[in-house]
Amino acid sequence: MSFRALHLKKTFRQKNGAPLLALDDVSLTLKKGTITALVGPDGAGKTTLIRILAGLLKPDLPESSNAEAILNNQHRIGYMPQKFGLYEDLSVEENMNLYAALLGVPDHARDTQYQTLLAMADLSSFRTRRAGKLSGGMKQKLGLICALLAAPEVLLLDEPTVGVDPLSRRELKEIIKKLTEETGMSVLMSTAYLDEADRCDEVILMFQGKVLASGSPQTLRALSKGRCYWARPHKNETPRALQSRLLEVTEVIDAVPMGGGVRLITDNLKDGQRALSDEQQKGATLTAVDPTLEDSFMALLHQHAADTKDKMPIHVVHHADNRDPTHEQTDWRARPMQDREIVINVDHVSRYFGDFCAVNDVSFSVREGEVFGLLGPNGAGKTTTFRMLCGLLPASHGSLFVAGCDVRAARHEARRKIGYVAQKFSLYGALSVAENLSFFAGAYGLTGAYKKRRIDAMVEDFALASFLLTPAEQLLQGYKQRLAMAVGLLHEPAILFLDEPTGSVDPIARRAFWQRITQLSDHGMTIVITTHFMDEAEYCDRVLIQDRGAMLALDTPEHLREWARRAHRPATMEEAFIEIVKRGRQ
Amino acid sequence: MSHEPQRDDARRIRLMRIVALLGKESRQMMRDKSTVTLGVILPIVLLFIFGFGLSLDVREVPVAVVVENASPETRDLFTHLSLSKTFSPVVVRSPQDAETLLREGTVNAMVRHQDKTAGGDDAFQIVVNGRDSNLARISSRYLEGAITAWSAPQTQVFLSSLTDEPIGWAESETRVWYNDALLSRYFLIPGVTVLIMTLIGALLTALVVAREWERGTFEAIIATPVLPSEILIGKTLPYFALGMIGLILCLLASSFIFHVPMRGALGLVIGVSAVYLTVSLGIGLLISATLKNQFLASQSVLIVCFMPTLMWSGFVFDLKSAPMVAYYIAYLFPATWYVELLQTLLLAGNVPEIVVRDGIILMLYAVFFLALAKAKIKKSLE
Repeated sequence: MSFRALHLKKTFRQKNGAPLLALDDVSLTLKKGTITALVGPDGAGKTTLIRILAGLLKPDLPESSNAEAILNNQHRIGYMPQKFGLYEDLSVEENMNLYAALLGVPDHARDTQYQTLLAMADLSSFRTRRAGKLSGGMKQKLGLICALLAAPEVLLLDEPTVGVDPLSRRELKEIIKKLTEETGMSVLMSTAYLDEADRCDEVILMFQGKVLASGSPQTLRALSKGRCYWARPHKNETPRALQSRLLEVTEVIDAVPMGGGVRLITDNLKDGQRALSDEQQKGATLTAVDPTLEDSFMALLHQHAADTKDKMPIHVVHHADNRDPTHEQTDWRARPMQDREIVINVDHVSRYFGDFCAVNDVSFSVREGEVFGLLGPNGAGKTTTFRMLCGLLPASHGSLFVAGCDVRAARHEARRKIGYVAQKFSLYGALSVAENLSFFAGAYGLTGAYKKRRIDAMVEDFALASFLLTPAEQLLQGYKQRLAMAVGLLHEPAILFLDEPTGSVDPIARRAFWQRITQLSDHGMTIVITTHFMDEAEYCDRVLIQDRGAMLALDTPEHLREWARRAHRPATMEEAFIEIVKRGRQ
Repeated sequence: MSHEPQRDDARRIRLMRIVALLGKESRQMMRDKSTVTLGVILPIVLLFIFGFGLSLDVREVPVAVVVENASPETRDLFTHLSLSKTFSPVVVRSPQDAETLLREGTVNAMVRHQDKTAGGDDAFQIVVNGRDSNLARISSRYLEGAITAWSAPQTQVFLSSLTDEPIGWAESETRVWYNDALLSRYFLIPGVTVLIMTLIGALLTALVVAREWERGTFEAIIATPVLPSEILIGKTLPYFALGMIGLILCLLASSFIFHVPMRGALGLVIGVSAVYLTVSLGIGLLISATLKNQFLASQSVLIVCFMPTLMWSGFVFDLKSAPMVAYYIAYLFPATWYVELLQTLLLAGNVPEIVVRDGIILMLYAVFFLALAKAKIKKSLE
C-alpha cells in the first residue's frame, strides 16, 4: 500500500500579519519500499510538508486532503526532526527505551529490535554512553534508529545529513536503504545534497511551496540532456577564472569548477552551442557530458524564473563589482602561487584537551590570495585547528603566524587583520540587518564616514538593501549567510575565515557564495574555509584533509583526485576523500 | 467481548508511556547539575540568608548616653540600658560629643539625662537618627520604654521616701501573641519557605518545557502517539517530588535550626504546601509552554512569581499597612494566600476559618493553572 497526501495547502501568518503561502497545492505518493528525496532551495516548503505528514502541523482545509488520516496514524510513522530529538543527558539505551515506550513497542519485542538496530547502526558498544557524548554522526544514527523502533510504514527524515561528514552520510544512507528493502517501508527525506537525491528512487523538486518537478532521478536528469558541458581552461587560466568568465555569457545558466575544469549548463540547445563555440576560440576545450540531477535542478529553477518573470534572484551571481578593476587584479591572476607571500604559517602545532589530543602536530602554510580548504570527518580536529588560527584557542605546542602576527603573542593585532564567519553565523537575531552591520562595525572600531562607507559597500556587495529593516532571525539561511559574510568583511580583513558557511544553505545560495569567494580571492584576499560538501573542495586552491587530529593529505584538489584514481577508477572529490580517510585509518 | 481486551490494551500502553516519560524526566533531573543546584542547594542558601543574614529585629542599637556629671542615677541608667539586649550604650561626656557620634553614624541615638538636682524634675532628651525611619521609630519607642521602666522603681523609691506607706500603682503588662519573643525570623522562615516552593515549582518547570523546545526534543516527542495529558503528568510529578524534598528541608531547618514553633498540624502544613506547589508547577508549565524559550521563561518567572512573592505577599512587608489598592492586588497572587496559611499554621495553630478558606482558594488556583497549561501543551508546532 502506498502513502498518499493530496492537495496540501498551508498558510502561515507572518509577524507583520501578512499571510505566507508555504505550501500551495502539493500532492505526493510514497510508494512502498522506495526512498523519495525532497529537494529545493531554502524556504521551498520542504520542512512544512514533512511536518504536516508527521502530524505536527495542520494543513489548511484539512478535509480536502487526508489530513485526519495522517493525524490518526502517528504510530505508523517514524519521524526524525532536524535536531534528532535526542535527550543528551540520557544514555543510548535510555533514549531507545523512551521512544520504544512512546511508540508503543511492547517490552518483549524490544530486546531483539534493539539488537538488530544497534548492530545496524554500529552502536552496540555504546549502549550505556550518554547521547550528549556521541559524535555528530553517531547522534544522527541514534536519532534514526529511535525513529525506526516501531517498524514504521513511513519514515520521514528532515535534512538528516546536514552537518555530517561524507563517511557518516554514506553509513546512514546504507541503513535506510537496507531497511527499505527488507521491510517495504517507504521513506521521505529532505536533503541539500543533490548527489544524495540522485541515489534515491524518486525525487521531488520543490520551489516556493510548489512541486516543480518529480519523478525518478533518470527522468529528471534527462531534462537537461545535451546542455551540459565540461570546459578545460587553457594553460594560463585557473578553473575559477574560467568559471567567472563563463558565467558572464548570457546563455550559460550555471558553471561550477569540477575536476580541474568547469562544468556548465547552457540555456537551451541551439543558442548555447553557438555561444560556446565563441568560447572555444578563446582557448577553452569543451566536452559534452552527461547531465546530473544538479544540472536539471538548476535548469528547472532557471526556467521557472523565466516563465514567471519572477524577481527571485535565481541567477544569483552578483556582477556588481563596484571596486575599480584595478591592475592589481590582473596581477593576481598572473602571479603564480609560489611567488606570493606566506600569510599563514602553522608550524608543528598540537592541541590537547586534558589527555585527548584534538590536533596532532599539524604544519602548513597558506599564501596570499589562496583559497585554502580544511576537510575531515566529524571530530577530525578541523574546528580546533580553525579556532587556533583565529586566536580563539591557544595552541598547546608549536607556533602560529597569521597575517604577520604571532597569534600567541599578538592575538588582538592578528584578530584585527582577520574576518571570521562562525558556523551558526553569530548574528543578533532580534536586531535588523542594518543594526547588525552597525553594531559589528562599531565592535571592529570603525567610526564616522569610514564606517558608513564600509556598511554601504557591504549592503551593495551582498544585495542586502531590501532587507535592511528585517530582523536577522527572519532571514532565509542564504541571506543570513550573506549578512554574516558582510559582517566579517566590514573591517577589510586580509584573511577571511569561514567555518562551514554552506552547511544549511541550498545549492543556489552556495553558488552565489562561491562566486563571491572567487571574487575576493581575485582581489588578493586569503580565504580559509571548512566544509562538508566535497564538491566545494574543487573551488579551493589547496585542501588539507585531517582525521582524528592528524594531517592525512595536503594538496591541490586535482592531485588528490589523481591520487585516488591510481588505486581506483577516476575519482570524484568525495571518493578521493573517503579513500584518503579510510587508508589513513588503516 | 472483543473490545474489552482492547480497552485494557490501550490503558496498558498509556501507562507504559507515562512511566517512560516519568523515568526520562527523573533521570534528566538528577543528571542535570543546574536542576540539583536550583532544587536543593538554593533552598539551603536562601534559608541561611533569610534565617541568619536578614533580621528585622532591633538588637544592639548603639546609643550614646550623655553623662555630664556622674551621678548614681545616670550610672544606673547606663547599666539598665547595657543589660537590655536592645541597646549597646557608650558613655560620652558632653552633648556635643554625642552629636558628633550621631553625625558620624557611630551611634543611632543619644540619651541625655538631666538630674533633678539641676532643678526640679528629671528630664530626658532622646535624639534618634531618622535616616532609617523604621529603625528610628522602633529605637525611640524602645528607649522611651526603657527609660520609663527604669524610672518607675526610682519614682517608687522617691514616693516611698515621702510617706512610709507603700503606694499602689498600676502596672501595664504587655503580651505579644504568637511571636512572644518578637523574633522576625518567626515570620521570615515561613516566608522563605513560600519563596522556595515558588522557585522550585515555577522556575524549574518553566525551564524544562522551553528546553525541550529549544533542543528539538519536543518536536520528536509530539510526533509519537503520546497524549498531551501524559506529557503534563510526566513533567509535573518529578518536579512535585523535588519540591516536596525542598519543603521537608525547609520544615526541618525551621524547627531544628531556627526553632520556629509549629503550632498547627504537620499534616496540614504539608497538605497546603503540596497544593501551593501544584499551583507553582502549573504557572511554570504555562509560562514555559507559551514562551518556548528558556531565557524568556526564567525572566518571566522572576517577574511574575518571584518578585510578588518577595515584595507583595506579606512575607516581608505587612499587607495591612499597604495602600488599599496594593492590598487587594496582593490577594490576586497565590503566594499571598500561602504566606497567610503558613504563618497561621506555624505561629498560631489550626485556625479553621483561615485554613479552609485559603486552602480552597489555593486548590482553585491549582486547577486553573494546570488546566491552562494542559491546553497550552498542544501536539502541534503552531
